[in-house]
Parts: sequence; structure tokens; C-alpha cells
Amino acid sequence: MKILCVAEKPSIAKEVSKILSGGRFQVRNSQNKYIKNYDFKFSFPNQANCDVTMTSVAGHLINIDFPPSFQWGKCVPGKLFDAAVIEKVLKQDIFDNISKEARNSNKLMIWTDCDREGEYIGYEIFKAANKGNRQIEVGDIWRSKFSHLERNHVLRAANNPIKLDLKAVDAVSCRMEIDLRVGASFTRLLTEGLKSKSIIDKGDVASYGTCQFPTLGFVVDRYKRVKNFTPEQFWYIQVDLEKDDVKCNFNWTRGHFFDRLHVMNLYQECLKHKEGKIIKLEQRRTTNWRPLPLTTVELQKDCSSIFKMSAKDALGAAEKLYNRGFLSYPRTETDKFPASFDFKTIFGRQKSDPRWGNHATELFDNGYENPRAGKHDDNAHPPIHPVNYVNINELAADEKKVYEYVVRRFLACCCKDAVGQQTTATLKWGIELFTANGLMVTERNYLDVYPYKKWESSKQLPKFQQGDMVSIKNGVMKDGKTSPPNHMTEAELISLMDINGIGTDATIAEHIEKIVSRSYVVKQKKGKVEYIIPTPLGMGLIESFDKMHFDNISLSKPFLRKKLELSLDQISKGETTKETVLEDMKMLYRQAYSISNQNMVNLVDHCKTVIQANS
Amino acid sequence: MSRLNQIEDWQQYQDPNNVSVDRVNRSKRIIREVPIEEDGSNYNNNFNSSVYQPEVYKLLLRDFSNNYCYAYEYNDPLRFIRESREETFTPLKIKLGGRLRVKPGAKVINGVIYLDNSFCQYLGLIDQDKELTDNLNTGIVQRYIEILTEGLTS
Repeated sequence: MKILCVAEKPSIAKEVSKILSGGRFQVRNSQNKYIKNYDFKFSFPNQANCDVTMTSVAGHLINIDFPPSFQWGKCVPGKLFDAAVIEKVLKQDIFDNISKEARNSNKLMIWTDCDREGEYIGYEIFKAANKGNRQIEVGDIWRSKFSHLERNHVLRAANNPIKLDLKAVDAVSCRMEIDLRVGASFTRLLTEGLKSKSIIDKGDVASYGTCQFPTLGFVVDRYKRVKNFTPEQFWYIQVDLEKDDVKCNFNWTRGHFFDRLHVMNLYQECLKHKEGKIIKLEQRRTTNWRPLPLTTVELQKDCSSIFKMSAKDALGAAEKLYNRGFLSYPRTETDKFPASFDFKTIFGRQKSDPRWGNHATELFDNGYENPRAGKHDDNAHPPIHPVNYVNINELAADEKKVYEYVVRRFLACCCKDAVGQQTTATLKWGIELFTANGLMVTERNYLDVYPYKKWESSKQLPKFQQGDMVSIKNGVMKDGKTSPPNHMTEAELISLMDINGIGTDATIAEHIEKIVSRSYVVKQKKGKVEYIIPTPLGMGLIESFDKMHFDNISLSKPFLRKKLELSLDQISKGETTKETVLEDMKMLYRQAYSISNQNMVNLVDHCKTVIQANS
Repeated sequence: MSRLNQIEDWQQYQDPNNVSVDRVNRSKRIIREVPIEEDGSNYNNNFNSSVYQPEVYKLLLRDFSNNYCYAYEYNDPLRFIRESREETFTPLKIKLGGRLRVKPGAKVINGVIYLDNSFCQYLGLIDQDKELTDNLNTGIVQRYIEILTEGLTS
């Protein structure tokens, strides 16, 4: 029996070969200098002593495109909504290597990443293998389910293969086709239109993407909010008390009002009383929760805000660490660990580290808390966690930060929550209520291993007694003004994209990079914080599309893309079909295209006006 | 609530596809802002601005003699507004122009009435006020946005 195993990346093929062969394998070169073929023996369930060849692809093998008669300049862009779509092999030498290796194989086993994209790449691998060996059929494919390169985990994946998920394949194929048709048609229309008025240079492209524009839209909306901000006055009442030479501020429980008359009337009522009464004195235990298990989006957000690292660099570093077996698969939406998760083994591997080893030892020797369970589970991968230990001095700069962060986050997840004593005094003045708080942190717990989070004791309250009558010498009506919001940070943009369904944990970073590389936005540092600001071109594009009177849709807002993502989920669950979703989405975008095309002159003119106004 | 935030609320009813999407507001459909604390780890609950804004309804009342006065919601939330299931297609929970009986003993400060549930009774829209209620409610979204915008710049 000969089994052909194919991984998504060369590094995964090498690591899995090492594990399955116990280090006893032969290496053969392929036509592609990065792709190696590893030969070894392995006993699969019911198939003892198999000859195995493990090789890999390097990402997608096949792309979709339009036939030559529909290339740029050969047809009007609107035709692309219904043009035929052809498949193009992206990396012929890798494709041929799989076909050749499949020729003498009885079975194909897919070792791509366990996500939707990995499922689709698995299907591309099948096509290459099937070309070389027609006996290999899609229903017979073994698919390994793994999320990191720890030995026992990989062996379990090899011994428990499942089937390729063809519904996930359909979902990705649907998304690819919509992205191609919509992206190509709008990009060509937009580029030609902007070139005709010299808004962009001859060699430039003004791209449109169903995720790209909503991503840009978030940034433009924020920019406009900052630019158009008008401060507004508000009023409130505050009481300052002093006892035993300790001062404290009591805040009005009603907060603030943008209505002077209302606050003035209530303040006037208070002033009828010279004294107030401490009506409640509460001391309660309060906790500061340890972090949730780590998802990709949280990793990107935290790396952006803590290390000022771009989402792309953070994910890139995490992927390198995963490929070398140090971290689990870094593309995950899951924020709860499975019940069977072996925490102790991981603590054990981290014990020797000079920075956090003592915390790992403590958890290993004295027990740990079960991590909090979040609400998300992609049913493919556990939260990001350390797998094997590496001394961070051996890592590159970004990898060092990401590895330390992931380990500390994992250990923090398994520690107890931090504990404090919160004292709250409630003052009644007239019929108005005011409160003052004091916090004493009593047990730091997870905070000791997780320096990224701050929770500190505040100034303590004077020693009030419940029922104390206090003279109100300093009860005042104050006013303030609202302050402008900040421009968009990358961490906030990632959150907005995630919550609004723009891109996936895996592609969010790419979309942000795309709007940077297209010069739709720039990153600007102000103090220690880096903000994302739209360029005049980015402003012009969004504002001019917002001026179009589409039929109850927007091309710059997230709603349409979110609808597509929900439909893709439905395809994956078998609740609808690829064909239905394709037709629905094509119809919506075709209408928007038609309106844009008819109003292209206005769109470009408006874009030019906005660019000039913002330059 | 600040005028800017109120304008955004009203704009959602004017053109839901064209509202700003960079912040969270009360809309269930749109997530427009995800505040992140300085350490990057936690969300707080105060999504809308740098100040906490409890919502208090301020009503403009007219009596049978054509006298006008303001009334504020006071102490307990006014059920006739907050629990109304009337579909208004505006951020308001009830249509304008309904009749309200203010009972003797309601608190008055500087000519402003402070209302709680025990001192008022909502009678709803009355047929004989149809002309008034139509006037008040027709085109209300655009009108409110204009009034609020004007208030911002004045």
C-alpha cells in the first residue's frame, strides 16, 4: 500500500515526516527547489507498514481567472459578471510533482491547515493527484485533522483521518468567484475612469474589493467624525468631602447631562440641604478576570496595541512559530479549550524558562485553574497556545515578542483571577445620590505573569461610617466639553472588521495591508500611538461611492460583505448551495455596477473634488 | 445624550445604508466602535463618548390654554414612553402629539415639571388631534436632524 501525503507548506511536510517516520526518512528533490518528497514507512489504522511519500504545496495550487477574450481591455468590465471562469495552475512544477507522485499511490492523504481555505487547497491537491492517477477519487481521500505539530497530536491525526469537507470547498469556491467577478469588474471600471481624469497615473490601478472598500470605509468614517467633530457642553454635580485630612470626590450617580436647566434645577434642590448623609458603605470583593484563551483576532489586536506590530507582521511571526512547531495553529476563532486539553504537559515544557519558568512550575506543581471559556468555537482549532519550548533568544525580534506573549497569555489563562477589595461609599445630598470608590488589590495572581495588563490600587477613601452626617462645603455644579474621538488605530480597525464580518481571522491583516499598498490610507504616528488616516484618494473613492444612489445597498459599508460571509457559513453547513449564493450576490453587485457605470462621470468628478478639498 | 450622537441615531432612520460605521451605538445592526482600554485588553461599557450619558426624556408639553412648559423624566423611568411597543420608525418610542394628564402634586422646579409614573397618565393619540399629530410626525426624521444640526452650530 502506498500513501501520498500532501501538506500545505514545506515546513509542515518536513515536521510531520519526522514525527511519522520517527526520524527515519529519505529525502528526494522535486522540480521546485523548495518542495521535497520524504519517503518513509508508517502503519495507518488497518493498513500496516505502508510506503508513504510526504510532500507539500506552497499555498494555493490553482487560481481562477477569465479566458483571454475577457482580459483587461478586451471586453467591457460589466461582462465579467457572467463571463466563463477558467482554472489556471499557479505553480506547474508543484502541480506536476503531485501528479507524478500520485501515479503509484493507492491513497491520498491531505495535511493542509484545518480551516476552510485548507479544505479548498486539499481539493486542489486532489485535482493534481487525480490527473496523475484516475483511481484516486475525492470520496476516498483521507484528511488529517490537526492544529499543531506536537508529536502525539500528529500521530493521533494520522491514525484518525476524516473526509474532505466538500461543503467548505464549495464555500471557498463561491467566495473566490464573487471576489474575482466583483473585484475585476469594479477595478477595471474605476481604474479607467480615474485615469481618464488623470486622478491616478497611467501604470496605477485603483482596485475595488468586497472587503477592501468596507475596510477603507471604517477609516474614512472615523476620519470624517474627527474632522467634523463639534464640542458640546455638558453639566454635572460633584461633591468633594474631607475627613481626617483625607479628601475624596463623590461622583453624581446620574452622570452628566447636556442640559443646563435640568442640572441647575436638581443642583438647586440639593443646595436646600447643608448636610448630606453616608447612607451606604459597602466593602466587597472584586475580581479582575484573567484573559480569555487566545484567538487570532485578539493576538493581532494585542500585538498592535502592546508591541505596535502590524496585524500582518503579528500573524506572520505566529505562523513561522507554528511552522517550526513552537505554537499551535495561529488562525483560530476559538476562545475555549477542549475539556480533554493537556495543560500540564505544556506547563512542564515551559518550566525551564528564566522569565516565566517559575510561574509554569507553580502551575505544574501546585495545580491550575481551568481557563475561562469564551463563546466562540470554530470547531477546527483550539485557542492559540505554546506547543514546544524555545528559548526566545534564538528567535527573530517579532517572533520573540509573539512567542513570549502567547506563553504568558496561556499561563495567565490558567492562573486565578486577580482579587481586590472595593469600598464604595454612597452619599445622599437632598435626594441626589453620589458615590466614591476605593480599590485595594489584594491578590495579583495572573497579573504577575501577564505584565500587559494593569490593575492597581487606587487612593483609599476616608474612614466613613454608615449614617455619618457630613457637612457639604464643596458641592458644585460643574461643566465640561466633549472631546473629539481619536483617529482609527489598527487594533480598533481589526476589531471593527472582525465584529462586522469583514474578512476572516486569516485575511483581516491582508485587507489592511492592501489599502495601505494602494495608497488609500497611510499610517501616522502621534506620540506613541500609530493611527490609520485616509489619503485624499481614499477619501475621494469612498465619498464618491457613497454619493451613488444604489438600491438599498452600500459598497463602502460592511453590510453586503457580511451578508456574503453569512451565506458562506450557510453553504458550509449545507443550508444553501453555492449556486444560489452566487446568483444572489451577482445580482446585487451587478445592479450596483450598472448604476456606477451609468454615473461614472459624476463619480469621477466628485472623487476629484474630494481629493482637491483634502489635499 | 450629545447632539452628535442623537443626529447619528436619527440618520439611521433616514438612510441606514449611509450611516457612519466606525463606532458602536445602540443600533443592533451596526457595530461602529469597539473601545479598547489603554492596556489594549478590555472593553468598557461606555461605548458612546468620553462621558457617561444616562438617558432622560425631556418633553415639551402644551396645555389647553396654549401654555408651554418642559417636563423631565424623574426618578423612575416613564413607562408610557419606555415600554411602548408602538412602531414609530424613529428613535422615539411613541409618536408625538399624544395627550398626557399631569396629576396634582407633580414636582415643579422653576416652572419645569419633574414627572414620575405616579403623577402622570398617558392618554395616547386622540382622533380630534389628528391634524396636530400628523403635522408633528410627518417628515419628523429630516426635521429632527435639521433641528439638532442647527443646535450644534448655534
